[in-house]
Amino acid sequence: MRRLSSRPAGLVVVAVAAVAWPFMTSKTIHFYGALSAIYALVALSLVILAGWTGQVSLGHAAFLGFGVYIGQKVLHAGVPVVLAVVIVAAFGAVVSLVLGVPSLRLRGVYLTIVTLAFGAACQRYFFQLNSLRGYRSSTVPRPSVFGISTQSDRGLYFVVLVVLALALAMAWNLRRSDTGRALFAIRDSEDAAQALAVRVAPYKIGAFALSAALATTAGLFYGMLYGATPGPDQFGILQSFFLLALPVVGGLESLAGAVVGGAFLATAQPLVNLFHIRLFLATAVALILVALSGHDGVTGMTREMWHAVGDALGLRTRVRYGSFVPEEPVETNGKAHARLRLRGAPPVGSLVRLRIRGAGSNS
Amino acid sequence: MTRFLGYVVAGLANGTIYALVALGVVVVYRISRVVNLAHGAMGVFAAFCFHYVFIQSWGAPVAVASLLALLVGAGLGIGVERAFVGPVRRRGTLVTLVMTVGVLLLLTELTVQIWGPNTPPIASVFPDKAIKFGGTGVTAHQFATAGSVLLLGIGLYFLLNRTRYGTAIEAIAEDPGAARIVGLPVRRIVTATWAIGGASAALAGILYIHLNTLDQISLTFVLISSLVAAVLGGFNSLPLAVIGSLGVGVTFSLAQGYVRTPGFAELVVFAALLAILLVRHRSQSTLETVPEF
Repeated sequence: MRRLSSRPAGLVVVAVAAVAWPFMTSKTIHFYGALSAIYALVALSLVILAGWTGQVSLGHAAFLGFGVYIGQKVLHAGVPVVLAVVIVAAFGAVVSLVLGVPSLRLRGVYLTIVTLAFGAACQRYFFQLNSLRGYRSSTVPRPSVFGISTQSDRGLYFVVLVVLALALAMAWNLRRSDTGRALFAIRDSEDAAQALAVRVAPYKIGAFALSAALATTAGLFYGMLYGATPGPDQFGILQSFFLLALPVVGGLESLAGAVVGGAFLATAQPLVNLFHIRLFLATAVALILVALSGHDGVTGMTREMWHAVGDALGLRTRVRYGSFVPEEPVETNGKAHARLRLRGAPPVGSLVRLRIRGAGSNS
Repeated sequence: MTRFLGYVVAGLANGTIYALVALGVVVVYRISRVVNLAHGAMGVFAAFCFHYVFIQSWGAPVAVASLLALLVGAGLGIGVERAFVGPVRRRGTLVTLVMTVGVLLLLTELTVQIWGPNTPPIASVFPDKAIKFGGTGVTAHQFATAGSVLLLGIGLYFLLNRTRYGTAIEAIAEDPGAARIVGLPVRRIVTATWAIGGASAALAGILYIHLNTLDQISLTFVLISSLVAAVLGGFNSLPLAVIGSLGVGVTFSLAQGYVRTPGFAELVVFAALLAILLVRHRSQSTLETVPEF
C-alpha cells in the first residue's frame, strides 16, 4: 500500500531543518527564530484550549505577562532555568484555577468573559504594581542551560526549541490518550460527553490549567529574549486578541498549526513594516479571512490540497477507522481497505463494528 | 458623606453608559446567541467617523452629525452581521466568537490606521452646564445620557416583551428554520435587530468619549464592565443588565475614589465577576450556545 504522506520522514526533515538553519543565517534573523518558537508555544497552549476543548481565552497575554514578570524575579534569585520553568508554569496553573473553577463549571462562554476581565485587571492593576513588575524596564538575566549559553539569540532559540519539542510531544500524546478524546467530545457536544459519563468540568479546568502553564512558560522566555521587562501595555487585552489569532491562522486543531501560526506571525512584523501597515491590522484581516474560509487555518488548507492531489493521482487509499478522533478525514476514493489491529487480547465480550456508508458500497 | 454621594452620582453617570452598551449586547445576544465582542469597537469607529468625517471634513452641525453617526453604527451592525458573523454562525460558538474578536481587532486597528492614535474631543448635542444635585455637579450631558438610556431601555423592553416583533426574535433565536416555515421574515428581523445593536453602540461611543476623551480601546474596557453586568442577568434580562450596569458603575467609581492605586477599580470588577459566577447555580446558566440547526 503506497502512501502519499509519510509522517516520520517528514518529522525528521523538519527537525533537522529547525536545528540547522541558524548556522547558515545572520544574527538578526535568530531573534525572529526565537520569537517564532515562543509564539508557537503560546499558539500550542491555545490549540489545546480552543481547538481541542472548545473554550476561548482572551487573557493569554496576561499569562504571558505573568511569565515575564515572575520569571524575571525567579531568574534574578539565581534559580536555574529548568527549575524556573517549573516554578513559572506552576504559578500560571494556579492562577488559571482561580479563573477556571468559577467559570468552567458553568456552560457557555463565561470563560471568555472572565479571562477578558482578568486581562483588563492585569493590564490596569497587577502589572502596574511595582512589587510585581519591578521598576521601569528591569533587566532579565539570561543564564546558561546545560552548557548552552543563552546570551546569544541563537542559544536561546535552541533552548526554546527543546521546550517546544517537549511540549509538542506531550500534546501529541495527550491527543491520542483517553483524556484527549474526552476533550474532543466536550468540544463537540457537552451533552453527548456527559451522556458518555465524561465529567465535563474537571477536564475543561484541567485543559485551561495546562494551557495557562504553557503560556506563562512562553512568557519566561519572552522576557529572556527581550532582556528587559516590557511595560504593562505590552500585555494588554489587545495583545490577547492578537495571540488568539496565532493558532486560528495556523490551524486551530493541529499541532503543526500552532508551529506555523507562531512562525507566521512572528516573522510578519518585519514584513508588514515594508508596507506601512499595522501588524494587528494585517493579523485581523488574516484572522477574518481564515474564519470565513471554513478551513482549519493554513495547515488545514494545505492538508486538503494535499489530499486533493493524492486523490487525483489515486495515491490515497488509506482508511482509518477505530478511533474517536480520525487523524484525517476519511475518504475512500472507491477503493477502500479496512485494517484492524488489536494490541493484546481484547476483553471478553468486545464488539467490533465497522460501518461503511456512501454510494456504491455493497460490502 | 458628600464625598460618598459624589462618587455615587459619578458612578451612576458612568453606569448609564455601561447600561447602554449592555442593552446593545443583550439585544444582539437575544437574536443571534452571539456575545458580540466587537460592540465597543463599533461604537468607537462610529464616534471617530462622527468627529473626523462629519464634523471636521463636512462641517455638519452636531445634531446632524450625531444622527449620521447613529446611521453609521446601524450600518456597521448590519455589515458585521451580513459579512462576518452570519456566514459562520452555523459552524458553532467557537468560530463565531473568534470572528467577533477578528472584527474587534479589525475595527480598532482600522480606526488607528485611518485617524492615527489620537484622542479627539467628541462634541455633544447637550450642553456641559453643571446642574447642582445634592452637593455635586452633574452636567446636562450626563442627564441626557441617563435619559436616553432610560428611553432606550424601556423601548427595547416593550419591543422585546410586549410585541409580536419580540416574539419573532425569540422564535428566531430558538429555531431559525421553524421561524422561516411559519412565515417570519427571518433575514429582515435579524438585520433590523443588529442595526438596533449597532446604533446603540454608536450612541454609547459618542456619549462616552465626550465624557472622557479616550483612545480606541477604551470602549472595549467599557464593554468588559457591561459584560459583567450582563452576566448578572444571564444575558437575557434587560432590566437586570441595566441594574447590574449601574451597580458596576457605582462600584467602579467608589473603588476608584477611595483607593488611589491605579486600576484598583478593574480589580474590583473582576473580583465581582468571579463572585457572581460562584453563586450562580449550574441550572441557571442561561448563557447557552448557538442553537444547532
